[in-house]
Amino acid sequence: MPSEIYNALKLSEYRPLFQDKRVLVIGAGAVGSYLMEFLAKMGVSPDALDFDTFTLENAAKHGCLVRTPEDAGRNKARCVSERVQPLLDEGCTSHGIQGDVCNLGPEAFADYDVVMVAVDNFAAKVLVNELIRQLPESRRPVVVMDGTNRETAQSVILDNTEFCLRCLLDEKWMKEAHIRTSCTGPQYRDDYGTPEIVRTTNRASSLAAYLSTEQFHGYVLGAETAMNRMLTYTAYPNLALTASRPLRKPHCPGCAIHPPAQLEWLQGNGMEVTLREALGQLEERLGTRNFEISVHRLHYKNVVYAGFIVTDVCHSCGKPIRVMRHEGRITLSDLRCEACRAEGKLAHPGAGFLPGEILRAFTFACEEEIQDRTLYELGYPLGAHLEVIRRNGALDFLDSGKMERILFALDGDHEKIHHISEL
Amino acid sequence: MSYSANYTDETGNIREVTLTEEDSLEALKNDYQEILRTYNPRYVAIRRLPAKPGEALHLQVTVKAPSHYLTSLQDTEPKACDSMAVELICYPGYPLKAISAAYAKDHYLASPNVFRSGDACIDEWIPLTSSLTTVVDKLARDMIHDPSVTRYDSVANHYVTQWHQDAVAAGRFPTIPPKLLYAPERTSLPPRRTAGRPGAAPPPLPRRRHGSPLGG
Repeated sequence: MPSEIYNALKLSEYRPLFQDKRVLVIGAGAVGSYLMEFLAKMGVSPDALDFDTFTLENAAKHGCLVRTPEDAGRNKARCVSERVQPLLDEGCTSHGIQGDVCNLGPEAFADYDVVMVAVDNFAAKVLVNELIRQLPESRRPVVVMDGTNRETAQSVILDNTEFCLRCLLDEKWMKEAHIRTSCTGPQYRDDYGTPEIVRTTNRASSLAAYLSTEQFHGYVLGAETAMNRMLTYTAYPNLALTASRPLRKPHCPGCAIHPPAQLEWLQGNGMEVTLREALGQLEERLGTRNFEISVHRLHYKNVVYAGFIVTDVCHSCGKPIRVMRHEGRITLSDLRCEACRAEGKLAHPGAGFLPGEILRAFTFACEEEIQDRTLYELGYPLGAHLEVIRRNGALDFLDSGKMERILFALDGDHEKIHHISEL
Repeated sequence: MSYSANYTDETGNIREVTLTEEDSLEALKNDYQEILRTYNPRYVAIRRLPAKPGEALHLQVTVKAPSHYLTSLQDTEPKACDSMAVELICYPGYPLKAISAAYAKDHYLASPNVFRSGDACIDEWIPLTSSLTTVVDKLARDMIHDPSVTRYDSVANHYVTQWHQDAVAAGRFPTIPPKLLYAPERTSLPPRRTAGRPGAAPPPLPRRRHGSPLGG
């Protein structure tokens, strides 16, 4: 089948250069669906990640890779990945992952040559930047980010040496970093003092995807002027295509993030390794049981989530419940007992509810049920860096001279992402 | 690893602040030193307890002054005591991460701002405004029932709100003058300089020298 589609004599002679490239497209909506089609036809292996589902309203903007109306209600990433399967060249693969970018850690990106950020909110862009900058340069993928506004399409490619993705975002936008502009119904932003409906078109989306793939193309070909550039397409009446070289933003919080000075490796991947196994591997490596693994700290949408909730109370009736979830993976409606959930009772934030048990670190002293859970189930994203603290008799952090902090990662996480369909 | 949080300045601008592990540790040390310096050890004892996994600092603050306590979830009858202790926990990422404070479940402060589980209701944690020093100050004064720190609209324990208000009205609260909590030898701020006479002309600027720009 691929040989019937891709006639090497009729296509670009550079096509073989793309065959071993792996690209992750984060966001498979208006721009992402076009990206997946373009990338598949270029002969690369594109994976897609998105937690959202297609609605009929999306049909006005996404590519025809997505079928209307039959694909309405399907997960965007899985759907586009399935639709590109017949277009994949020999040896290429594509996985659609239904999941949130919050469930990925830095090492999950390490196996990709390029990560294309086609998300519709600044919070996700900031998080992706934070994760990728935690990877050492040798394993850090190139990042391509695009954006649309009305009829204007923009794309930027960067290798994180001159500026970071956050340098391109005005800090005042962070006030509304969570607003998702592709949601069904009109979405508002207050960029210039008055709230404005965010409008874009499918031409802008497809052009943004085209500019991104053009930059990817230039990067693979090794074009000198391809890297660290921004391309902007402006529609009529001021039709133009311009290239610019963005500058580093002074005091950029994104640029302040650096990879760990030292990273040690554990065997396996976070979806399969249990806490018990991780503790065992660490005991072997450190020669002691006197250490703790900090609960994953997720910084997203201006909140730091750093606790594992063991018990709480039903936020409807007040009855004690067992939660066993990370703070960052829970919503208020999850904090209901079985009975209230079955009756459809609403959960409400209650300062009057007595707080439950929250863990901040895991040790050998954790109960069996916790130790039997995988690291992913305990809140660590796939590809996480695990912070291990050895107190060495220190009373607390004020005795910091005695303490040791070591970061560990799992050596199978970067490969695992190619074999999962849900996060 | 770094920690970040949003900081809203006095003009309402929101700015993301990132702290490194070292910054966080420095803040913890500074604030710990500050509370040691601030309080009078005769009335306020501060003790470091062994931090449990996931904790950065675990303190016990004991106020040695008359106070009142409750003993269980159902208890609504405050009982008098000669001292009261609370435990405070700072977590990695301090001061961007909130701290927690709790009294013993069977000997917790009778206050409208203490939950019946013994957990102290500390106000909303505002990064770079709230700190260990602000929380210790509020708790120490709450332990002597100083009404200036009591929030009567708190949902923590409304059963003792009326009792607290009655005691304040009767002049029984605070149980000791709040200034006794503070170290007497604490250095005071330098006295304010008197303002210049109104209408007085400022001293003349030094005379400008009109030499060659090249100094020749």
